[in-house]
Amino acid sequence: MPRLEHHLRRFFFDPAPAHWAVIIRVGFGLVLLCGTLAMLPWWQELFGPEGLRGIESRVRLYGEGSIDTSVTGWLRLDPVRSPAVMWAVFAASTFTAACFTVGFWTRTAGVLAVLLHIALLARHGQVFNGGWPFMLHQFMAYLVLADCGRYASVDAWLRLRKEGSTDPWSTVGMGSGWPRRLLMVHLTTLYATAGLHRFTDAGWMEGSMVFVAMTYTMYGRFPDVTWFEWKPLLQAANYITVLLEPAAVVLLWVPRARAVIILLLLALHGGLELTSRTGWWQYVMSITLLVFVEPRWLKQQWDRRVGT
Amino acid sequence: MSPARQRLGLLALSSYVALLAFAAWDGAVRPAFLDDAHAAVWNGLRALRIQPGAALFAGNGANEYKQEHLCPIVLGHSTSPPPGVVDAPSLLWSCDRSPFPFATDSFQHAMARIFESGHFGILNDDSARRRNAEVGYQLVGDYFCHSPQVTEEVAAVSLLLYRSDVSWRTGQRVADVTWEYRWDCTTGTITGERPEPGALIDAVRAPGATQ
Repeated sequence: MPRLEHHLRRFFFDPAPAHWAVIIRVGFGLVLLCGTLAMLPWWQELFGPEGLRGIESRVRLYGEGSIDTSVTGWLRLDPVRSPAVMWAVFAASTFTAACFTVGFWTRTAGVLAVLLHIALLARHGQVFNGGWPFMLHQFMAYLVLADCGRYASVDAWLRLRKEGSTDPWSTVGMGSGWPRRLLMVHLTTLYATAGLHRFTDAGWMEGSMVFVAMTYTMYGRFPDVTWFEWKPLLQAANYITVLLEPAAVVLLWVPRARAVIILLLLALHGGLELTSRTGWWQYVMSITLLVFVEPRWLKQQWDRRVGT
Repeated sequence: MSPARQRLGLLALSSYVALLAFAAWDGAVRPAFLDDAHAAVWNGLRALRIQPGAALFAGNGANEYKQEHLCPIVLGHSTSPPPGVVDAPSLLWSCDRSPFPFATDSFQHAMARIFESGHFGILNDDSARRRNAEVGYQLVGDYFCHSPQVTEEVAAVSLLLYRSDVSWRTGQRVADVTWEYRWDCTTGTITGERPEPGALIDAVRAPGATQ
């Protein structure tokens, strides 16, 4: 038992280089920022009171009683009947996402960005329905816990300048290990959930599910392609997925295999993004995978190619 | 940090990781007694969305025919057609989608999802009206009647859901017009009918239809 406790202590509490938190902070911040900005032309149609599923429609159809004025209702912006307020929500969403990306008031900005995204998701969930958009909230919670604005951020620059440092950008030091571990475990459980499910789904077992994904207009990026002609390739992709995701659950934790499985998973997510429409999902997963990348790998590659 | 606090932190972190691992275990392969004993915990986890749910393209089983095309189309019927002219609907919106979603796709996606969930009765974020198959159609119909963003004045809109399936084994396509609803903008009433296969194409190609 003391031995187990010793290993768990090391697993959770050994400090870790904070590069991961910086990279993933910038990545998630950009996903939130670009994803929100991309909705600008449709903002009022998607979230406005006169928009699709808007509050005015519901009042006409179901009466004033259909407006949820409870605290929960307000949290998901249900009673908001002013387009100006929804524009303010857009401005706040982009501003907090931008602040989180550059690390300015990082923790506050991260929490607010997540809360606003949750509210928008609750107000009109169909907009974000590709992939698992709510996972971003939990992943960002780990980042906030990790104090991801401590390095390579405006916050760090302001702090170090106050302390009189001559080069506030020079170092990314060590940080708490446990938020990184939680993110690693959580990502692994996602692959476990998806991977184990494959073995109990007849479609995956017969090799047809990638074909389904490509042909279905809801998700397929190129629905006009006659995908049946590519059936052997799609069948191969199906079985590669069936093998890769459960393998990731183990191999992401094996140091010798980690680099290879990360590259394979990045290829999987990249391929999915090229051929299907799943919202922000492939970006979120690809960025999150970088939590497993060791900074020393990059340094080794750099030294090998450029020289020390 | 004191040893006691560190131990408490370790316990909390280990418990959380154990919950994540348990939640990841698929329901179909997890022993049933675990579900029975831990139904409350499991439901709590699902409510917290710690478990991300079923896989993205799950639930299609191993049927030979796979859903290929789910195409919502909205036609507008004018307020006062000229005398002697059969009401020629105009195409207000169709399912054409850009391959590059960040540019224009969020509205298209939301429309398609509302149609799909409305049609199959799973528009489950309106709890009071849950499983009401017409909800999606009502909301879309009302939007096209009243939204300031829709410049064309219409008296009624037709909401059509076109569906085709494709055989995984032979590549053969089976087309069907799944349903048509007509939403009256003035009375706010909906009528549904199942048109003959091919009627949708005729409607879209009708004189006056614009892309």
